[in-house]
Amino acid sequence: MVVPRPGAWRWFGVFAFAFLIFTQTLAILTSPPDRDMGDLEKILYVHVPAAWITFLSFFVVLAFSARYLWKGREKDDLLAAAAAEVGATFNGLTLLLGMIWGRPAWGVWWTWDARLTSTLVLFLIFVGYLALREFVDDAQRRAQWSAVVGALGAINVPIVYMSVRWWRTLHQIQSNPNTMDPAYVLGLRANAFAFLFIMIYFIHQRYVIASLQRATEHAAEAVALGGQQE
Amino acid sequence: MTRNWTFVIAAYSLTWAVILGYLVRLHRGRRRAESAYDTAMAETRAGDR
Repeated sequence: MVVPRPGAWRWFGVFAFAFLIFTQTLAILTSPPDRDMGDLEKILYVHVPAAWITFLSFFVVLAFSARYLWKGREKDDLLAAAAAEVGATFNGLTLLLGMIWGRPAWGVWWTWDARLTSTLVLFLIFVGYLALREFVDDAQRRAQWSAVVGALGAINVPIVYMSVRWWRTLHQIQSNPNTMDPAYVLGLRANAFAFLFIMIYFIHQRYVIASLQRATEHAAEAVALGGQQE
Repeated sequence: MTRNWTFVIAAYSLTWAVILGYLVRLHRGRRRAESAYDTAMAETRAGDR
C-alpha cells in the first residue's frame, strides 16, 4: 500500500486557511445590514457554505462508496470514510450555526421543522456510519458495510435539500444568486469556495491518516504471519 | 453593539473553534498514525532478519 506524503498539500492547507480569513473579512466588512435581519445576515456566510460543504462531502462518500462496491479498491473505502468524517463535522457545525441564527430570527433555538429534522437525521446517519467503522474489526467487512450505509445515507441529501419545498417549514427556501441581493452574492460565493478548499484539505489529511493506519494493519498482519511486507 | 452582533460573534467563534479543533485533531492523528506506522515497519524489518 502506498502511503501519501505531505508535499504540496501543506501549502494548499496554508492557502485554504488564509483564503478563509480573507473571504470572511471581505464578507463582514462589505455586506450591508439586511432590512429585516440587520447584521444577523452575516451568519449566512458561514451557515450556508457549511451546509453546502456537508452536502458535497456526502456526495463524495456516495461516489467512493459506489466505486468501492463496484471495484473493491481499498483506497475508495478510505476516501469515503475520510469524506464522511469531514461531512459529519460540517453537518454538526451547520446545525449549531442554524441554532445560533434561529434564536434571534425565529425566537427559538430549535424546532422540529422538516429542514432541521432532516438535517439532524442526516447527521445521525453519518455518526452511525463512523461508529460502525470503529466497531467492525475485519477490514473488508467494515468497508463493505460502511459503503452500503454511506451510499444509503447520502441518498438523504436531496431530501434535506428539497425539504423546504416539499413540506411547510419555518426555514426559508434555498438561497442562490437569483434570490439574494447582489450585495450579498460575492461574500457568499467567496466563502463557499473557501469552505470548499478547507473541505478538500481536510479530506486529504484524513485520508492520509487512514492510509497510514491501514498500512500499519498490513504490516502487523505480515509480522503475525511471519511473512514479508509488500 | 446590538444584540444581533452577539449572535454573529458567537457564530464566527464557533465556526473557527470547530475548524481549528478539527485541524488540531487531524495533526495529532497524523503524528500518532506515522509513529505507529514507523514502529510496525521496524518490527516487520526485524522479523525479516
